[in-house]
Amino acid sequence: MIFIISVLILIFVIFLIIKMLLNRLILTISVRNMFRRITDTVLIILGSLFGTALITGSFAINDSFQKYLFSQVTYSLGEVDEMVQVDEERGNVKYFTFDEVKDFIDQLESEKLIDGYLPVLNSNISVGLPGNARSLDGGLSKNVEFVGSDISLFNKFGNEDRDDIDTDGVYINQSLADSLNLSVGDKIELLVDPVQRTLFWVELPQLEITGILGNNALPSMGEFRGFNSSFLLVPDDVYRKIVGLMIENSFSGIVLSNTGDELEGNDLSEEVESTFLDWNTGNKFKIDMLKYDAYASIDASEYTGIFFMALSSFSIIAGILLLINVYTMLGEERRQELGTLRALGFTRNKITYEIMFEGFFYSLISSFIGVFVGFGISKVILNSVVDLYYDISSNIPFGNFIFANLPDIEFTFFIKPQSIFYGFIIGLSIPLIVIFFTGRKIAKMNIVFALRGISEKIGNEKRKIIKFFIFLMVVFGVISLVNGLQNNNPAIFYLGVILIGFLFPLLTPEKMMKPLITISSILLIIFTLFTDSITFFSQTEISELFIVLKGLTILVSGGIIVIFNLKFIEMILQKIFGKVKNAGPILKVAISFPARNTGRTSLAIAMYAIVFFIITILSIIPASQKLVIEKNKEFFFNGFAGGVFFLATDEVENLNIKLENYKGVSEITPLNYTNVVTYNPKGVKKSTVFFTDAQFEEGNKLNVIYDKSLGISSDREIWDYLEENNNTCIVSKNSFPDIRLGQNLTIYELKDDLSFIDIFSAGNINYETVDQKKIGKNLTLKVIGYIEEQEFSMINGIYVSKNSIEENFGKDFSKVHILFDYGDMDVEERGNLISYLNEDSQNAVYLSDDIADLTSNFFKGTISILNSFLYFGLFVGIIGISIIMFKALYERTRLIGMLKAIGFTKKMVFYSFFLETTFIVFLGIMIGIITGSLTAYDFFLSFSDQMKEFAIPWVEIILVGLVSYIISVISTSIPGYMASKINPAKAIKYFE
Amino acid sequence: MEINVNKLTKDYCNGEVRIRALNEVSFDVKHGEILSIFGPSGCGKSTLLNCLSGIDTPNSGKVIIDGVDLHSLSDNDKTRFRAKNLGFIFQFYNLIPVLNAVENVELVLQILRVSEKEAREKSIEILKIVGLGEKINSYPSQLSGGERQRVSIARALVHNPGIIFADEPTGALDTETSIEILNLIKKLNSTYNQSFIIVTHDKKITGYSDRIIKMDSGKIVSFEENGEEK
Ligand SMILES: Nc1ncnc2c1ncn2[C@@H]1O[C@H](COP(=O)(O)OP(=O)(O)O)[C@@H](O)[C@H]1O
Ligand SMILES: [Mg+2]
Repeated sequence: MIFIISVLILIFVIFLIIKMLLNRLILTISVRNMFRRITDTVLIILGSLFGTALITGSFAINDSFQKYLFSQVTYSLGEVDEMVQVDEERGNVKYFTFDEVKDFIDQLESEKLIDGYLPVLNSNISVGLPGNARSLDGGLSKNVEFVGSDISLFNKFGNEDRDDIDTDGVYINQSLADSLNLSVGDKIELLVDPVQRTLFWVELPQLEITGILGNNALPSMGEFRGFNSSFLLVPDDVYRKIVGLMIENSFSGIVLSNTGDELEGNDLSEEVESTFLDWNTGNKFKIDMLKYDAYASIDASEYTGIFFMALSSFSIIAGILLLINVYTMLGEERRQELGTLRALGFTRNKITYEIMFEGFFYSLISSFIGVFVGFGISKVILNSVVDLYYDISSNIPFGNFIFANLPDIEFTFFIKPQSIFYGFIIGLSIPLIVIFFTGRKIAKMNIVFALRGISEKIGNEKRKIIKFFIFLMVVFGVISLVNGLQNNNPAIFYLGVILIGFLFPLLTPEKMMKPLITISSILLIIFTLFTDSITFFSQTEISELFIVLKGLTILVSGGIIVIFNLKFIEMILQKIFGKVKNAGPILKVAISFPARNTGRTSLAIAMYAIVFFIITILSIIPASQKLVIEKNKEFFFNGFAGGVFFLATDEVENLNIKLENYKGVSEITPLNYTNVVTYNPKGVKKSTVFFTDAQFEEGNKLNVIYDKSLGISSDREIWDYLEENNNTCIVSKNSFPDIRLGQNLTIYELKDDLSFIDIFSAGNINYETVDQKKIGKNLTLKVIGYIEEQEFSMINGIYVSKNSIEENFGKDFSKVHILFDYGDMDVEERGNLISYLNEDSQNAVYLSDDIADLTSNFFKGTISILNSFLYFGLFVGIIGISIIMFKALYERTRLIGMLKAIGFTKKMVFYSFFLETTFIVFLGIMIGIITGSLTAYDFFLSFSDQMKEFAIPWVEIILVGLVSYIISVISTSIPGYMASKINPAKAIKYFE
Repeated sequence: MEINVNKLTKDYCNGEVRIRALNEVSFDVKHGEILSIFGPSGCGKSTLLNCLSGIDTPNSGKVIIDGVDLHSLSDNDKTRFRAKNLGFIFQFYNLIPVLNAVENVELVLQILRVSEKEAREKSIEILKIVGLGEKINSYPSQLSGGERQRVSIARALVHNPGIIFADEPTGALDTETSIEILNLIKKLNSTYNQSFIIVTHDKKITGYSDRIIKMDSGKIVSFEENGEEK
């Protein structure tokens, strides 16, 4: 798409250049016009420059985020693109000999699709120091990826060319060395077959470590490997000996590296796959497109760039409005000149060149500089994003969700060369398109009208066509309205309503049109705000499109109400201020111009309104979010204010005592847990089982919805019931949203640690695969109660009595959280508490107040960074108003001379300019703030009760409004001052 | 060149109101004559001139210039016809402000694809003839009203058109300058033998013409020759 646009633009540019050479005199006129009024030229260039800068900036931010996310994949997979393995699900044996795949590899190499392959043997095993491999204690034995390979081939794999790895050596990575405290020369023991865990008389194989490699020295070969996970690399014959594989030259997989570096190689994955499918006729093998899939999942989940794009698109719309305004004014200004040329014998085509050449120079210069300004803006913004995220992600448990804090991968500024090109092309093409249409419009001008300087009205013919088109749209509106109603689709229904609401009044006679469209706009706003309380609209999930549609409706309605009633507003202002000394004539001049130049004024008002609309919404979000978090912080830890997490059983006693001794800490409640999986049709789901004892039953603050048929009268008794009845459970709906009372739930023991994210996530994550060997006994439980869904709860899972667990699973794997309250503590006291608890060992201690503060700051910080991007968009508005006022100065030179001649003082002239700016800017900002607030309000109305909090940071918004108003006034005071200096005698006979 | 005007009618629609600016106007213009169109403001003189020169389109009637039915031509052909055969002098000169005197004059030759060198020579020559030999490089803003009108006349004549249209050519000038300009037109007319059609509401100006057409309310009231009523 963008490629086609680029080509079209290129053709257009070449065409323009040829035309320039053929029409030298017109070129001269264009170039000289540029230099005629330097201020105008500079402002026009500045205006389009910011447009380009905002576009390029969005690209750069998008690219940087994408590169950051991609680098996580690259970090793990390195040069590996695909892996071919035997398809075991079809009953084939895991191993194969290299000869079986040789044809396929040869074919790939001859087609230059790959630049490396590596036959490997791989599996997951446990290792530990001699005697420890069988241990189930995570501190003594570790799960590692065990890889056997011809190390000489490995050294040359992909773009690698290293000789530091001995072809007979045994290597582990740093992470494994750290966690088991290993160094070179140490011996390690390998538990290859989990069955041997209990066959303690069987002697396990041992290996001596030759070297320790970097954590990502060995690319992940199979599942996308997490960071800091461990591996053990040995020569392939050593692997066979250990595992007991008799067949020479047998392997369990072939790792492929596509031609080119890791990013280019990705483009070849589809071809490799199709070659594989052609070759794999016997279906013995399967291919995993490891990197391709990993990238695809990132692409799909990548919001940040799109979010910035959406934001900057508002600034870009403002920029486009500015350009339309600027070039229309340019055309307007040159109309008489162009009319003369037409009379003298220039054809229609030729006179459009004058405007096009001029515009072309403006857009060329502005998009060129704009690209660099865009770099600057996005770099500054990205740096502050990075600082903020690094500060915060390390401090809040779910910070990792938003921005994983990874080792070795730095978030840096990055922009793709093609993005620079696209930014430039878009920056160039928007003005060119505007110029093209302005030029065409001018070409069609009536020569007589142009020469006489009278404005043209739309012809009757054209008016009829436009009305017919509007009529069609109204008919379309009626169709969608009916269709939406029949198919229960609120968004379609709503689209119908707004189409009719906005367009029907345009079909009525001119006299009725204004009041009608005003009334219907007011009604549309009211209707939009009420959609949330109408059941028809809340029956289905709300789509983003619907939200955007509603926001736009409110914005456009607000704009229409003001813009169609400029004369009415003028009248009211006259009524109010007319009596003040001198104000009458000043107001008359200041407001009657913008009120009559409807097109130009509307565009200028719209520029301010759009930017303030978004700024207002973005300011309301964090302010309201803060309230929501404050309101919900008690739900973080099951009603407790704080907790110490992930404790081994032997640490509990000590910490209990420490907590009891601390003044202010109360309600200390331990919560034992272990990890389990459940099965559902989609796959395996990891979850946590909490086992409750008397202390927890007494201390917990959970609100349980229970089975009334059990004959229980309070939600305290349900815990007693749970205690007394083995094989019953209470479930968090966060983890099991579809659970029903009375249902059976089967849990399976999981002999594996859950990651931080697994535990703190609200659930809902379905895991497709879990190593069968890690799954143990099972237990079926009856659901007697559930805890309502709570978005803020970080402790979710299945509550079972301790007896049930002990009887069925044993207690080997249990870990403990300790929850407690701490009353009112300020930031410093909370800090003291945390360091007190961390005196002996680094415990994970979290206090809900800290999390609430950090989360609020995080939102506020993120949003204010986004906002700062928009402030650049404000420049567009400010430049726009300056251009308008400068044009006003030139257009009204004669008139101002006349005014001065009939008694306007310098001050009065200056004030009239000042008031005109105020009129436009104030209306724009007001529309933006009001419609933005209404939209945000509507948005929050649609939230669940937990999230339904609404706060407008008035001070902040008014401050931004005031500042941009002041900047606007300052920037227009120059033309105002120049106007006040006009010499009446000269101005009256002003002709050029 | 000769013009044959036949039952020219032009209406303007102003909302619901129709104004008949020209009402079945017919007359001829002879080769090489200076014809004045005279009448009160708003009687339709400019409208008539614009329809004659092809920059406005009549509702009905014909304008035939040397056998060519002007309004049957396409817009592009009409434009080319204007560039080649017609010259224009405007009340407010309508010079291009960013071009200097000689460039303003050259403009017309450019349309006709005259070579750059020849265009420059011709333009300087005609500027000398209108008495601006000293100021060929001045920009319009540096010239007085009379001088600007001379540039405008030079521009109208440089490509040697058959007919020159002038709408209130002295409307923005003082009496003395007006007389100079009219004398210049008279002189050029006798040298090059081109037809001039001058629109004016000023009785004095009609004295410089061979023939006068009097108009009122969109109609021709009378033809006069050499100041005598026919
Ligand atoms: N664009 C227009 N729209 C409506 N009426 C017009 C327009 N141009 C001229 N007229 C009307 O046509 C009549 C003749 O105008 P014009 O030819 O300019 O008169 P003159 O040049 O003799 O002063 C006038 O009544 C004028 O009001
Ligand atoms: Mg006139």
